[in-house]
Amino acid sequence: MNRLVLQIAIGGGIMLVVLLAALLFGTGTLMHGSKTGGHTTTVSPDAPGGVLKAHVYDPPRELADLALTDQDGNPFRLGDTGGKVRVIYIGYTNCPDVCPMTMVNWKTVKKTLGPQADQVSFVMVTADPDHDTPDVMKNFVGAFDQSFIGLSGSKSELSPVWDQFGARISRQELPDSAAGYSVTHPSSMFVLAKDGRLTLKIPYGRTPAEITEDLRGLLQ
Amino acid sequence: MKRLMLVGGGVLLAIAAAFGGAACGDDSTGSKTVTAPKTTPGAKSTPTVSTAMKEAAILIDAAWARSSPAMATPAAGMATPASGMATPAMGASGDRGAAYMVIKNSGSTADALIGATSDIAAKVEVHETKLVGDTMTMSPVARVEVPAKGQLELKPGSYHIMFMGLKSPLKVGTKIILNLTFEKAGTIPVQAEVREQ
Repeated sequence: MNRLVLQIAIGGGIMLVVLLAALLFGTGTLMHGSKTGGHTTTVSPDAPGGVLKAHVYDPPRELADLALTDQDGNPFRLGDTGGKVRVIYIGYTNCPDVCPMTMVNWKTVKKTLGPQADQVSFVMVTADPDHDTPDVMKNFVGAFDQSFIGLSGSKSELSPVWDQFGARISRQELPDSAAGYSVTHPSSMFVLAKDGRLTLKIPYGRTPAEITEDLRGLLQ
Repeated sequence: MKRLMLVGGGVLLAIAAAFGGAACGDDSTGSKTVTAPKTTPGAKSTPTVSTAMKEAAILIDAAWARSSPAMATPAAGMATPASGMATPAMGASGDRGAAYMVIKNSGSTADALIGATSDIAAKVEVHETKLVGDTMTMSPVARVEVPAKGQLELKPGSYHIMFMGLKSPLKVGTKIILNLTFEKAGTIPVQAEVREQ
């Protein structure tokens, strides 16, 4: 009789252990949700191949002497840095997501630079000349920081500037959206050293702290 | 003797199955959800109790909207677009914005985000920003899946709620209400705080 009880107990005991393990695993998944579920995006700071680094142009590239119009309606030559490091972003003001985010990141970088911020200027160049007049650029960049520069111009003035940075700019009509259109533009920031030559390309995904470090290398 | 061990194990397995089944059937909603009465979009029959048990349970977390620049009056004087092909974009400059959040689905069936509305803007849509090589693109999306027992994250550089024709700028420290529409869960209101980042 004892032997029977023992064998039931062993069989049951093994099953109990299995049951407990299954329950713990099962409820654990229920509580915390699937770790592999959810949307994986193509945008990630952990880019394939490892850590995102700034690309160094070796040798730095001389820019063509091209003039655009700044937010006050005055001519502005990108290469005339006035002895400052120039951080350039090509975007557009109707962009609700990454362009405002970049402006806010610039604010953070400027703050982190502290006194060294005097040596850097931040310049947004429009990818959307149809909509982004100097007034519109002024309203946009000025909302983030009064020292930020917004450049505009005609498409024929902007095209060669975009080309300097290898920028692929195109406008997509969106007939089914109230947005009307969107503009494809570069994801990276371009940095001119104090001598006006294109020195760095900072990829999307680098944090403000990392961008600050990239810039510090060009400053005193 | 072996037979008895099997019986003992079998009984416990039966108990386990019953217990596990009960646990799976429980889709508890978190405390942060503001859940509207479940209205199924479109002409559908009233869900039966068993259908209701299978409906996904949506919880929205960490909702925020980015503060937006003050409106500009449409450009006058200074410089005008030289191309002459200007397509009037909606409203004045600065009338666009974005909101982000995490949408969690604790249910055992997938659901999908199919739209959004808000009193704060004339038009609200779901858009996706995508990094394609070195280039940023953005386009509207009609439907984004929220996997069963999973989540969908709306974040900068990815899926986001886009506001067009904002009635007033989004100011840091304020809160806004928007409504998300789901294929199964229907309309769920969300409160988002306005922040710089």
